[in-house]
Amino acid sequence: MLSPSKQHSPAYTSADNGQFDNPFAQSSSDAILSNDGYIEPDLDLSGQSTTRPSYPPTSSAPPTSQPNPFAQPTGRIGTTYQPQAATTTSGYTGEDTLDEPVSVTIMRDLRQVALKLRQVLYPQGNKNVLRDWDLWGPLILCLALAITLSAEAPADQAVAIFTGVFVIVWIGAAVVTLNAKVLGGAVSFFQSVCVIGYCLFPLVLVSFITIFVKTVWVRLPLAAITFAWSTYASVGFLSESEIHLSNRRALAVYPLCLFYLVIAWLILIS
Amino acid sequence: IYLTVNFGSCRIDIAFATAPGGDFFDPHRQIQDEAMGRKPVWSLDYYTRYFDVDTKQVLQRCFHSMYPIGLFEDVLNDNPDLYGPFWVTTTVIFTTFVSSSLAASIVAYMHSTPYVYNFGTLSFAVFVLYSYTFGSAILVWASTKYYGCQPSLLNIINMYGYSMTAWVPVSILCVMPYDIVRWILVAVAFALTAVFLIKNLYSIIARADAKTSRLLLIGILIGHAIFAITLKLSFYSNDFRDAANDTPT
Repeated sequence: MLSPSKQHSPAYTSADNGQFDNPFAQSSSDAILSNDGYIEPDLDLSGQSTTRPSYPPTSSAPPTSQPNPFAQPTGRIGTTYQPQAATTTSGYTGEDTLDEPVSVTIMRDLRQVALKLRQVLYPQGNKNVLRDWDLWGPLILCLALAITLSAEAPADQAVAIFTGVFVIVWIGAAVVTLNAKVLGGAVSFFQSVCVIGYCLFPLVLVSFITIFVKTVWVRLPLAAITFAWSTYASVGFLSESEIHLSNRRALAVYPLCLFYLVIAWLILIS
Repeated sequence: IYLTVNFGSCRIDIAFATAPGGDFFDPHRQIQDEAMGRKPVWSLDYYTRYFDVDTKQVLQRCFHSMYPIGLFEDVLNDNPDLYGPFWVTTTVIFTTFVSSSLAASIVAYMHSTPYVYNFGTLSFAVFVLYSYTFGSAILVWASTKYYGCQPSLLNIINMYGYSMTAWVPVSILCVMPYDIVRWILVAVAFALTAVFLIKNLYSIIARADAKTSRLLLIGILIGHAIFAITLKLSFYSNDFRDAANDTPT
């Protein structure tokens, strides 16, 4: 913890002996959050968890709710800092999260997951929601899909199907992302895996429905529609970041199609 | 292959002599790269060189593999890629699995028995197809290198990979329940891919002496035939007559 007293400023000499104030006389939060003695870091630490709130010192009015240095951002490293008022969907809540009950912590993450799922269902509107990547949502969806598909299978194949679906989802997402990266697209790895995982949501819904509906004439159009929906949603999210892929868009989109096709087919024939 | 080992002040340079036509382990390119401080082998950027193709080029190469007029190397234009071999093989895996399970489910539907699909088919397809495409390409490269034919590994992988394109329509068409039609389709695909492979590998094989080149040719053809027969028997053989006795293995 940097103690922002004048004692550490480079201009301190013994002549200032009577003028330095005891840093421990004030309450510690005031000392940290007050503007005097703000030591400017050499590197741009915006977006990272530091012991200082990372607003630029030239701003005239500090934001009304101080961003909590202990709140854990998910996936904000490297993104530019945005003032608190603009982003209502980030992980910052502005208060000290160390004392809150466990249920509040879990509910906050669950609410984030639900928000992203809603974004997948209606792929218009604010596309920045999925930039805060997290892997809980894809894990929940993948497990739901694997459990559903393996529960409907005969007992001797249940383990193989669970393993297979799990492997296909995660390795498939990783391979599709690596393919896009290696072709020259500028996508962040985990962000892309997160998007691909979240866009499984319509297919997971269909797999729940197929527990009850066995006729192929209902399953087939449902699977086709949700496959198209998932592909459209994920291509929409990822196309914003694939700025370098002018002639190669089809090459990057095709594996995505193939991935959702495999999952849709597994759901269809289960 | 060019290795530099640094022990503090002592520096050992080990150079394995490779043929000047070699690609993957081209000593000259590696020296140049390291001298100019380019990308190391473990970074993802190193592999962008092997994916430097546009959509049009990939489609052109796929089309040429099914209609092999002229040399494939001219189509490659000294820019072999790894995108085609990997994704064409993956597509073939998927279409094979789809057609196999579709045929079996149609059979079950016609006999009004509930259909249970066999997930082992998918894993078996993955194993067979990836090991054939990349494994036999490496085998061919290794054996031609042993006989001094100066092959290029990436070119051979490209030939084997793009030759898989012919299996995509064939596997979709093999849903048809007539066994004789399936055998004819598989034979057509085998002939087409064999012609493509032999035509393009011939220039490499011919650099060995006459007897070895004949042996290599026969080896390639036999390997290809085994592959075609394995595909047919494992995936395209659902007979609608004995569906009632069919049990998932």
